[in-house]
Amino acid sequence: MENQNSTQLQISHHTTDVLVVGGGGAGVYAAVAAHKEGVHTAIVSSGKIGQSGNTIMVGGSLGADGKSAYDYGETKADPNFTIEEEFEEIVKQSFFLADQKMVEQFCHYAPACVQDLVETGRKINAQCDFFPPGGYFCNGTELGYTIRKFIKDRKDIDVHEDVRILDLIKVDNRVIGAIGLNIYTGEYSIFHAKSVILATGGYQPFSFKCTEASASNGDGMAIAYRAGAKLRDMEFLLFIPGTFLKPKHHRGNIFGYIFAVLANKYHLTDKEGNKIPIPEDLLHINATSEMSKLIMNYFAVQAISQGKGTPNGGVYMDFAGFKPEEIASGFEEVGKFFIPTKKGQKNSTDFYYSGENFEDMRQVALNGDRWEVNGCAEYSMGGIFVDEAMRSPIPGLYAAGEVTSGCFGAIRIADGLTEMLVQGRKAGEIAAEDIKNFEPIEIPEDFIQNIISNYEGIFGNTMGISPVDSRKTIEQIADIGFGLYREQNTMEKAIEDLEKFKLQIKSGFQVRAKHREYNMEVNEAINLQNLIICLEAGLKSALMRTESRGMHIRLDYPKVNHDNWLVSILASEQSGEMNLEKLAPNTFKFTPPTGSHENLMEYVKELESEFGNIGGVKNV
Amino acid sequence: MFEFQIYRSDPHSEKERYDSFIVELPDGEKWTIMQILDEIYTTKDPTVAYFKHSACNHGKCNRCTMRLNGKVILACQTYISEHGTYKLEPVSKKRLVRDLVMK
Repeated sequence: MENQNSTQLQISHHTTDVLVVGGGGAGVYAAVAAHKEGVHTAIVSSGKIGQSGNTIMVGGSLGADGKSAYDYGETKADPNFTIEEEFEEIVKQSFFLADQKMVEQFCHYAPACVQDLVETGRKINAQCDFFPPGGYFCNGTELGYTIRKFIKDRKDIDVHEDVRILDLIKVDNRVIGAIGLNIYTGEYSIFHAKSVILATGGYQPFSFKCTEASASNGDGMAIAYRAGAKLRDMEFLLFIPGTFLKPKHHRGNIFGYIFAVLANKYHLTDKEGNKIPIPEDLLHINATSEMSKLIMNYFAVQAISQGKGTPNGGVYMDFAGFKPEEIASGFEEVGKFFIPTKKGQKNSTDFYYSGENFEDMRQVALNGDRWEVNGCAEYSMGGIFVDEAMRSPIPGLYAAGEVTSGCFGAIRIADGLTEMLVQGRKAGEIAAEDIKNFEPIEIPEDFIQNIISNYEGIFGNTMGISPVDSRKTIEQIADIGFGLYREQNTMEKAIEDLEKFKLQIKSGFQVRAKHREYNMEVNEAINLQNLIICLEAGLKSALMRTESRGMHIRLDYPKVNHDNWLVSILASEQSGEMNLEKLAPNTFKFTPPTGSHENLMEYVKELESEFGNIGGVKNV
Repeated sequence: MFEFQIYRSDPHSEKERYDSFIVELPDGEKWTIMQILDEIYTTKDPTVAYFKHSACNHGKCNRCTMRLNGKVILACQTYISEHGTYKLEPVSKKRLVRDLVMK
């Protein structure tokens, strides 16, 4: 136990026009766009800009349509893959749940946003290799350095790093700032702003984590929810198959999926070593399309839900029957995309994927053995309800990137990287434009004091459950009721357990370290209060949706039911309770289908028969 | 036996010390230093501080630097599989915030 330190409470005040929250691609593009509009801009990030969040975790693709890329001068681009075709693929592969106005914004903003990033990336020698129809292959770490350069090049953007935003400041139904906590010092920062853009990324509540778990707590979603915003499509999380369950030192790495897509030399097998059959007509889609995430997961679920899962609850990527030279060439193929960038790795004969040494896993595959893998939540399709201008219904509040909802509906098949750029830029432009004639509103002092005293309660609390134990409880609830496949009884049990847990933590979390400086328990307590809101919205929406659609796989309702469920579910707070309502997506261009499909794969097959090869928006 | 001696400090006093923790690694497994620190934080001492709040855990953000037996390492990309005593310290005490965390 540590001793209490008597430290006077430090509060700093910062004034700006547009406050951007989030240090990934969406936040940076929003800040740059707002700054270009001539308004004062500040960016605050819970980590370091370009060195935190999920932007740097990217496996690599940054795409737009092929025609624009061709016109830009990329000779390998496919000019037949037009903006119109891209739009149609995203809408149809979203299971028609995407907001078509948002998809239109995505497709039209993508080329310029992508080219801008690639040009800046090349200035710092970042890998940006073009691949057809219209994408670039990027390395996450270098992508981070690239977006960092955008901010470094604009010295009059105020930068606040390692400060996490706790809550928005809303006065007279308008967002006019935010309150933050410096993680290193424990000091509060009050941001006075005319508008706020949330660009904080997604959420994932499970024990099995692939992308940056320490920051995927749904901060922005929960902050917006507490301020009265609505959360949409929270039941839709993108699970990336092929994520390593074992060995422990590689647990959570998505390399299995990368290998599956780029090398395609494996079989899925169950715990007995029996091949998990994937029908021939789906196999080639599996090899060429982002829809492969759904296909691999769907067939893995068929085995796991019948008790044929591996000891850690997944499946095997099995290399039995493949010759060592086939596996070796598969790794060579993958290696073309993932070139080691770090000193010491460049000249090594070991195989590196991104920053991690995978020689041991390569040897496993070369020996014809197997990898134990499962689907792992990597991206939230759901999030803050905004329109195509990135405005939330609350004046002064905007959102961009993964924290939003609507662009990809029930499953994302286009690039999350592109989404962050196009929505970031749009949010920055619109937020700056909207405030041009807006006079600042003074934040009442008692408002600030109220929020601070709430959070000071976390620092001083010696009673209650520890954040460490609470994290385990929440993850257990999510694992059981909200995972890769869902059923009514397990979801109901999970919701019941979550409600019980919410009562248990009413008096707060127990914090044993008394330091203000880098207090991991305080930070975790704040994470959890946000994550609980997201999990509740996700679980309750998933229970309400009595069908399967996109990445929402229900065993008890396998049908894709267009007649009843071509709607989004919105979650919002009303009198302290979470209220759910339905909303039909904006379908101004393509009329949604009617009737139903027997199961998810029947829908995928119909898409295939309509589009031919639905791999147009292939990415990794 | 796997013993980890962790540098502890308090920004409000000059006192510094090393706390020793025994972590049992299952036979045949290798863990990253980050996984070992997580184990210590979650099961033994929640007051310990190491870079965690925006750690990528996959060798990308390059922020979990510390010293292992004097040598600068990335905690998420340095593996332990052999029995022994390991000393973990901050890279530099000049910019120290607390324990293993530097500004």
